[in-house]
Amino acid sequence: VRPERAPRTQRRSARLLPDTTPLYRELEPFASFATAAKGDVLFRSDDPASGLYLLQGGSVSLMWTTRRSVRGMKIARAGSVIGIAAALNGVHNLTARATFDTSLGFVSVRTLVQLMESNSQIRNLVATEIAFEVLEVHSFIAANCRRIGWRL
Amino acid sequence: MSSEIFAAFDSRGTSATIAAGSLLFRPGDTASGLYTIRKGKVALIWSDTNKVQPMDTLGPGEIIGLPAALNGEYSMGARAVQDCELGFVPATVLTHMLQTNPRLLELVTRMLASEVARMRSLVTGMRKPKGGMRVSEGSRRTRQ
Repeated sequence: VRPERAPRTQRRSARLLPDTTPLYRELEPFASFATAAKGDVLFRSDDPASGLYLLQGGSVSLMWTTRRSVRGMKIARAGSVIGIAAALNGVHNLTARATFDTSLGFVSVRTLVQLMESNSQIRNLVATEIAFEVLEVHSFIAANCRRIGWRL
Repeated sequence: MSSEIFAAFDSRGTSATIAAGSLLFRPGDTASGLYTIRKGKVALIWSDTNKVQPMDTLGPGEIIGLPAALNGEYSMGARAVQDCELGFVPATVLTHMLQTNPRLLELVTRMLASEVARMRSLVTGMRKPKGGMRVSEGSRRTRQ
């Protein structure tokens, strides 16, 4: 699925989505929108990250692929931003699969970097969003450290 | 990158001496700011079922509580495992620094993004944390 190359779908204003994050609302005007069918893989772990995704409708399962298994990390819902840390790192370390027919906005790394350079609000929101991702990773590990094989 | 961030925060830190065994913060505490480690070692601890588990041990040149200071609440605990000299940067000062210094904010953002990747790769490789730049400590927040 490459939303940046797909035909544009009709864009719904972020104001119509009940649970958009502030970063979603800031990035939404700069996104190219497309659709993904249930089961489509948006990206796989170790894929190069060319941008981030705004989840406009539907839901996406984010999964960790370990040597032994694929483990669900969370379900991203409409209004959320997916892959922002990967966009800055250049590579995905999760696999994302649409769990329903889904509409997505795509913001390229180039656009993101330009926005971060020129827009202090977006800079602040990106930092806060990524800080939250750190939390999610730490919390997931705290809850699953035994199951994922760490010997504490 | 990490040394530049450390230097920037440490230069604004208020000195604090912490005895070995002292708790800096507990999970669920409101995040009042971040700490720079000037001397000594601090263990990050989280709760796994009913036991307190060490997640990582940080030393001089490393930063504790940065994500939490941005989000508002510590999700892990921190305990000095040696007598420590720390710098404390209040969250209000941190926020002001980041808002007035785009270069620092960019560095911090990229460092946090790297931390996300580092921790995720640890999970996929099923290894405990070891080496690398540690920014420590996630936080909880309520999304708007």
